[in-house]
Amino acid sequence: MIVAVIRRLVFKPARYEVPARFGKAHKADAVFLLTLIAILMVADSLFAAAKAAAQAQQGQPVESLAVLSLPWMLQIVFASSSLLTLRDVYFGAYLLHEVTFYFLLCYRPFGIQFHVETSLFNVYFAKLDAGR
Amino acid sequence: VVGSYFPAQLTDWLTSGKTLFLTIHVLGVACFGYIVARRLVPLLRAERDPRFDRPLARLAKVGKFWLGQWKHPRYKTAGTLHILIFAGFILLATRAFTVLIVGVSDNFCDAGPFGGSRPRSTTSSLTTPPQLCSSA
Repeated sequence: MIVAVIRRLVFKPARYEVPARFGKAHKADAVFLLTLIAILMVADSLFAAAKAAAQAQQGQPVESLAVLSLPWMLQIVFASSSLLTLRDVYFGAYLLHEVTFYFLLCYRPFGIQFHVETSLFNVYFAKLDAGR
Repeated sequence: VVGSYFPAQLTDWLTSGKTLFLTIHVLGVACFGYIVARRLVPLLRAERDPRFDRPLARLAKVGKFWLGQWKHPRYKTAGTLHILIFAGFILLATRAFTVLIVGVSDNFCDAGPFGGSRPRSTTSSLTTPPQLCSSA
């Protein structure tokens, strides 16, 4: 996500530019949507890491996290955190994830990523005999 | 000591927010439903065209062109990137839906696609973190 945002704001590949006859480029919308997706991923990672760290502290079997993934790294950070802190992180991360998910779901129809929600249905309901 | 801050009947750390989570679920789904309904109005008022026939053929198209991203290798760089991003989207969406269900279901385990189906403990408290699923 960071690379995608940097490419939008710093490097600006020529093919990202939209000719005037096709309307606006919607760069701000693109960055906003990338930020929402990043928040979703971070919240999910905090949720999983707090859970795994708490399980490790309690001597329970810990859900395996992919090595070098964000949850895996956050789990190491949380290793010495108190259960009270882990509980708050777990709860807060879930709440943030839920709010971000539904906001993203409802915002996408108004932005440049509407196709993410419609593509499956577009393909399913497409004309079967197109081109014949 | 820490557990004394919280009622012992907590089934897990998300229980205290279950009503809040359910409310957000309902509001989110209602908002999305309203947006979709408004978007469907032009389709419903347009000339009728049967698009519910031959479901298996349509599912095959979905498998090939949507899930399989059949057309994208035509563009080596952009197509390959799109396939990778699409795969990431599928993973993120699957995980996001899983996490959503965890907050409001007592019997759902978020052990991932390969996890088991054992229900969560009903007697845990703050000192007992959410239970892992197990196939045992």
